[in-house]
Amino acid sequence: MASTEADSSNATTANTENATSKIIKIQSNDGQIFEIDQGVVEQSSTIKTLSDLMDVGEVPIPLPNVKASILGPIVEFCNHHKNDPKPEPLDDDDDDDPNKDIYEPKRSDDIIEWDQNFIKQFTVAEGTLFDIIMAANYLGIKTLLAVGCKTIANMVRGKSSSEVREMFNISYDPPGEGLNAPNAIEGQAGTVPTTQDANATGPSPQPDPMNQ
Amino acid sequence: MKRSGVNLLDLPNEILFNILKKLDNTDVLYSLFDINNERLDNIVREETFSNTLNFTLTVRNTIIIGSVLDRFCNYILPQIHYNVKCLIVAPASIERILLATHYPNLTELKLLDFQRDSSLRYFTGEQML
Repeated sequence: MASTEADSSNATTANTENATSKIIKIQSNDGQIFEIDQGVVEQSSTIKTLSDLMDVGEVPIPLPNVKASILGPIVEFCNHHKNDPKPEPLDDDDDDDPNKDIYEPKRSDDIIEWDQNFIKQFTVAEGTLFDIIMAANYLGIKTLLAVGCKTIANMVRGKSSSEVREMFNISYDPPGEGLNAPNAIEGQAGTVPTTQDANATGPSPQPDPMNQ
Repeated sequence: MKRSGVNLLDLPNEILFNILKKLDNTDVLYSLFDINNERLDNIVREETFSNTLNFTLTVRNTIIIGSVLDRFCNYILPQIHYNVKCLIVAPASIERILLATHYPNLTELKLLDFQRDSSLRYFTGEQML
């Protein structure tokens, strides 16, 4: 009896250890492979979904939207946070909540020190701050996405529009286009194009035909 | 320093909204209104960023300063007044803000640090706003 109970206990422990120590491989779009454990997988809804759907085995999960120079730090971030308690679901879209204290300023100054130091390696000038934000969004890592978005919010707060334009190198609409088009505006209040080519650069996109 | 081609406007709208929702509406409007980029301007003119305007929030322990109030009263508020449903004001700025434009859809006016004697005059008698 005693040996049977011990065997059962050992089997349970082994199963638990196997679950947490299960290693999967992910691959950046430039071919670098990273090994991550289940604690990291759980933080990325994209990787979790892909690992559930694919019988991965030794085959790395490809992540075509993320390069190694970004994926590496992301793995570091997730490794650091894998023992964090699960956060309560946040609903940022709670403007209609009557209990919300609208006298309290919105918080973006609550980034913990480790995360602040982590995000400092990514800059606006090099574009890497936006790379990490887009990667966090693609991978479904909400904590990292929040850190990135809060960082940009903190950079904007208190700045004039000219300072923001300079800080983020925001292009003016060329003459005759965008806000400077002959038929620009007033009716566009309250309308926003819902799709954007995230790879678009240069002049701002044409007005959304659905909103004309 | 090498400047990358990747910039703020490469982020999709959902992320831009995520960023801006971490700011108070007055911060969004002050920093991004009429930045002369169509896409950002369209986003900032969304009702969600002007439905409720709280002019009592302190920024780094500094009450809203004159130049900021000037920009709102002379330029921003007259252009987004239709969206404003709730204003939160302090005695120091109530007169300028309420007289800056008309607010046809205003349904809530909240006064912080309401002092009966000094503030009541705005709602009665000759100085009624």
